[in-house]
Amino acid sequence: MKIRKDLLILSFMAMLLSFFIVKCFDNQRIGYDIGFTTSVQKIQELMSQLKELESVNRQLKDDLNQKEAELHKYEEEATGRIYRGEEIRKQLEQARILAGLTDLEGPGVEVILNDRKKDTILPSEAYSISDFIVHDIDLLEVVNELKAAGAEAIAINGTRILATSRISCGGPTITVGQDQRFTPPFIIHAIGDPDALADYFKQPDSIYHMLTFYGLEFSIKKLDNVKIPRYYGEVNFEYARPVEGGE
Amino acid sequence: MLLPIIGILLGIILGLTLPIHIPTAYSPYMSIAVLAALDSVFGGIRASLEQKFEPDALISGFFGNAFLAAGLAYIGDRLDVPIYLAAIFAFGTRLFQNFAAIRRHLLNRWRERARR
Repeated sequence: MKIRKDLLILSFMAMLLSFFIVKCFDNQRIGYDIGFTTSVQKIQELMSQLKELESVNRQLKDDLNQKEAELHKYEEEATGRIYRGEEIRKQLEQARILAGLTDLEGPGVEVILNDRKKDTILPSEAYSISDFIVHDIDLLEVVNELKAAGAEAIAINGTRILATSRISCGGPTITVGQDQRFTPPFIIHAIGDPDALADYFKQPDSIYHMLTFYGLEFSIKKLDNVKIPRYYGEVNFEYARPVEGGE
Repeated sequence: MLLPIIGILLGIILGLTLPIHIPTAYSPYMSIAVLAALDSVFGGIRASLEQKFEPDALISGFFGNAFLAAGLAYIGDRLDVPIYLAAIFAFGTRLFQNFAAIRRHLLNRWRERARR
């Protein structure tokens, strides 16, 4: 009878133990609130991965630039040989600028959009937290206003905005362009008449007033020289094709 | 032998079904506590094999060690000193010792049975 008693206690302990072990696994499975449990090691590992990818990225960009320099050389050679070559080359250059395939610079503005700082939110403000963060639609509207004010080229956090670029919600991030994901702050560069661009946000129906009303950070700085990088990525037209021969 | 296995299965089933969640912030302490508890269970198995089973000592060790280990880990975290390593070493080495003793016991038993 004595053996049965310790077996009983042991099995009770085993039950508790397996219960807690299962709970430990459970936590890892759910995995929300990562900030508390992510170890320094993991962060360092991710950082080194990021660095590696960045260097690969840089190398690829260098390769691309080199290839394009070669292409330019060929074009230059061709201009001499083809009838009205110079004119064709100018048109090609124009088309490249329009397509966003060249780095641009010129006078413009720098708009910085950021979420409201947590410690500035008063307890009496019974709004939802959703009112205090930058949404995809806010970013889209800012970009649209810049376009309306005559911006000739726009980039968000260094990503060139094309005619086909999207700005959509990616959960805690905002997806810009093809698949670039950004978190605040959003730094928007635009080339155009600095005064016209900056003054557009003073209009009473501008998104500026709404965002600043909710306490979001929204700063506009006029700059003499804004550098906007080219669009890096594929430009593929799978369905659309030019109309043959015109109307 | 059947009863502990039933206990383990019951614990797993309860763990999977009960909607209790340990906050993620406490999960490191949880792991240390689980180590302590594991050590106690091994100690209990060893004691029962050696016929020196003392229920009150075992149960108090089970909970006491778990809480002490978790508490040490917590204090270590606050002080920025990895005190939890002490718990890991203590329980870890004892765990292996206990396991060795259990193994030897079972092997002896098996050998005796084979000789008969």
